[in-house]
Amino acid sequence: MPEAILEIRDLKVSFRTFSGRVQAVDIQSLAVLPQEILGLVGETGSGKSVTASTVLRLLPERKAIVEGGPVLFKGQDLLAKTEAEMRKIRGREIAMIFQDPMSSLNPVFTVGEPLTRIIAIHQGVSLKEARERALAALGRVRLPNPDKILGSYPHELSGGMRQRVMIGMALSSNPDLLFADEPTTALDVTIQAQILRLIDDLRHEIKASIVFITHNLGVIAKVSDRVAVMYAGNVIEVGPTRDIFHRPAHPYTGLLLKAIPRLGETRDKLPVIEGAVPVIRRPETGCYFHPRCPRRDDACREARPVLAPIGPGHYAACGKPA
Amino acid sequence: MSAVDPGREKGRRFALPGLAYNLYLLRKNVLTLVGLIVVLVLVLVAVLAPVVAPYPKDAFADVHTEHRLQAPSRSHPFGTDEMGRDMLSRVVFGARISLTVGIIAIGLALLIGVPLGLFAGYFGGFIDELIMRITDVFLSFPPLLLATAITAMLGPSLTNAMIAIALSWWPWYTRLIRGQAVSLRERGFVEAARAIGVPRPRIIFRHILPNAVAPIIVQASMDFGSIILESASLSFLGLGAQPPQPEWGLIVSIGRNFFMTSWWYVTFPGLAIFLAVLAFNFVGDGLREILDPKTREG
Amino acid sequence: MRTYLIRRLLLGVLVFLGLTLVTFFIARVVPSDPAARWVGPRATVEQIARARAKLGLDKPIHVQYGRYMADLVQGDWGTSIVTHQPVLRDIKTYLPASLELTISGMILAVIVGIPLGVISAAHKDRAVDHLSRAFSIGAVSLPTFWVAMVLQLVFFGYLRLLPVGGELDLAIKLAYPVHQITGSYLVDSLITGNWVVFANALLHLILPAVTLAAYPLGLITRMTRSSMLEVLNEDYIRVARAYGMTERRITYLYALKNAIGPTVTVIALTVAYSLAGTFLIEAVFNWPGLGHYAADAVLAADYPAIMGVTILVAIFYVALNLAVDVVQAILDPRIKAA
Repeated sequence: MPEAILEIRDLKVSFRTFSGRVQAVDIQSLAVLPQEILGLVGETGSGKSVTASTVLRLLPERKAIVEGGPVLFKGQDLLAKTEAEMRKIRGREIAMIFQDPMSSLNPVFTVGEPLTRIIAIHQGVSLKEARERALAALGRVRLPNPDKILGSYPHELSGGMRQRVMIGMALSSNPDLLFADEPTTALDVTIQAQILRLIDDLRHEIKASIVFITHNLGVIAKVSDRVAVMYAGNVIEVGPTRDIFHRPAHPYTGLLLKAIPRLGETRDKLPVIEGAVPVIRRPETGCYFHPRCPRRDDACREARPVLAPIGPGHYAACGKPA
Repeated sequence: MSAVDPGREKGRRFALPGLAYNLYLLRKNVLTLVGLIVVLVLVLVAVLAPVVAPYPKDAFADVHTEHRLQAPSRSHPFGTDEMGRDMLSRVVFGARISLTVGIIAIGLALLIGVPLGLFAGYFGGFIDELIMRITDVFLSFPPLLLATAITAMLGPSLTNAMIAIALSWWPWYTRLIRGQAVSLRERGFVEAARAIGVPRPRIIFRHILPNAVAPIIVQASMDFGSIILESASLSFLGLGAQPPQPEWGLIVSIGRNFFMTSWWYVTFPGLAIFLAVLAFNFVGDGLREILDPKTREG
Repeated sequence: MRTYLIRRLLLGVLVFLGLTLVTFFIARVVPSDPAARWVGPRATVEQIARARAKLGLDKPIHVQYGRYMADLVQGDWGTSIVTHQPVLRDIKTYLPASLELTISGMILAVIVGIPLGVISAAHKDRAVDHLSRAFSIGAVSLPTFWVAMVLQLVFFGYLRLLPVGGELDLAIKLAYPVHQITGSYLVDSLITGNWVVFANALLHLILPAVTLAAYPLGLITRMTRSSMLEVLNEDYIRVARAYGMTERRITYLYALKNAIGPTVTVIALTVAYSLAGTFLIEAVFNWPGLGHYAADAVLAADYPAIMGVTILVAIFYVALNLAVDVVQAILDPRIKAA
């Protein structure tokens, strides 16, 4: 296995709330390899976005408790960095694209304002030079007329254009790692396809690794090299995309795949996974999934399974893998 | 790992218990709690004024010129006024007046504002436009000046001051209720009532009004402090309470003649106004914070 | 943008007309007889009748209103029953002092209130936030007339630091005459370089301005805090953080520009209200402002003066609202587009 660009080990994140601490993330191990696209999938509330925010250290300090680690980025523990050091990493070495490009852009500034500023800050160039580079960044995401777009306000652009601006901003400083948090979920289907194609094109131009966060397995199948499945804050299965889709080892992954509706298929009912994601209260012992698992036995209630090899590069945290 | 109820087997849904959560928010909000306590004390003092006040008779027309303008002492903790009356007793009885005025003035304002808002919101069109432009006119005038003008017209008295406050305050409630009525008008249960031929007044007062009551009550309780302040201001101008009533604003007004030499004369009644208004505003502010969905997080 | 402003202007004119209508009719149902007041208490019936005809009080009320509005547009705002001076001249006399007080109070409120609200929001639920909330609620809970007296007691009565009231010491007024340009001692002495008067006027201004500032200060702090809290939760703020922007830049530039709108509205509204609404402060500090004039007019049922002040306030109200609309459109390009 090549040296990972990002490696998360034993990371636990919980939030202080009215009813006590609530665990959001509990990852035994997760690695992102150089220049790969890793699909991070899971239901809403499974901890995908919190994981990304933890890596960037964007969680509110007073509410979130981060324990364990390290979170190694290019060999250095991000959890040990100061806020000032993190500011130099954010947007320069690790960038992020968010779900809704409308709300991601400040409505009372032209899109050029943050874009130029970020380039000036991270690349240490004058605002004039930054503007030239901003134009190039917009050109790179195939936006026609970048000069005009730089002076436009977000509401003057279409959803697809806005997301292209966001991607341009993310790639403007040539980051090593890019988190794409549901980047196509808020877009129309046709625009979605265009953005996916853009990401696919760009991955050959840039040298970044991409963590593609989504709950949409169809999208994951199209873009990612590897897939990591999260359940209740925990990575329960990880492996090459083909293996995950064709030979899922964890029963949860299997059920998740069955729940994808397929064109031309006639079914009376979409299969559902009984029960709900135990985001807030989860079993104290055993596998997190055991209350909902069709294959559970007594052992599942007792011991918490760890990620174990299933095949080449394919791991699952299950006591009774398929 | 979370130490709370494991909720085994059944992936039990977690719901925030309403009352407990509200109490939690309240506890988190120290200012509100302080305000609430002061308000309760104030109400108690007002109700028990004859018991709490050391010289209940001093609250009104008693005269003891031999104790004239005495500085605070053990027997007169807040000092005495120019007629030798115990200031503490007068301030204690003042709580009664201020609370009563507040309640009646708000009640009157609601009595005018709520029906107008309901009509404007429910009927829409010309009626809505007319009523809302009238509120615009009222709101474009400095509130205290408007109330002053009305009291000046009606003649100075506490009753007229309450009417004046209500007349300068109702447009806020009209606006609030109108907004509620507009959104409720489109709701299913109102449409249903209309479809089965429920008469209009009944729809307005039986179906829309009860559903708009909560925000009205919240707003009214938030306004209580401002109303007390406004009534004290009118009394200060001589347009509200009349001597020998122990109204706080009035006492401060009379005290203007003596305060450079007798600091206690204006200090204590003024402090009473400030603390009462402050307490109600603390509660109102906390109420807003607690009920605001944006602050209602984990 | 232009149609938007024209619509707002028309709406403003409508409110303005409504206001003159309402106050005119209210002023005319004042129980006491203005004509009798005009000629004084010992007048004969004929004298009163003559006065009534002279004041136009014998005409039907809608004719009176029409005449009033026609005169108004031509700059004839009627004659005060109390001062027997043209109302417009009275207003010219009293307005500068009011503007001086209002503007200096508002400047104080803005330069303290906005940063305080921002800091409070940026440190929500921490000690500084609790303090600033207590402070801002305290500021709006203060009875102004009482604060004014307490300040007088402390700074004049005990410390002897500041004057008790008025705009200028009489001795200074006589010894150093000020060339009248704007009518405000502070501004005129500054323009003409009359430093003795300027210093004295400034000293006189401090207590009234601080008293006036209290309420708007609380209002501005609360408004800024709550709209900042809303904005700080927005996605684009998270994005700015995710791209390594400093907290200072995020708070004071990216968030504040979004959050300032409601505060601007509050400021404008308070200025409009303060012009004639601060008569309690003016009374305690013996400040010769418009509020003083208005309150006297109200108490004396001097309806031409009441109308005059009302109209002036309405003009300011409409103009300031319009100014707010323009500022909002500049701040938020989405409004401009609409």
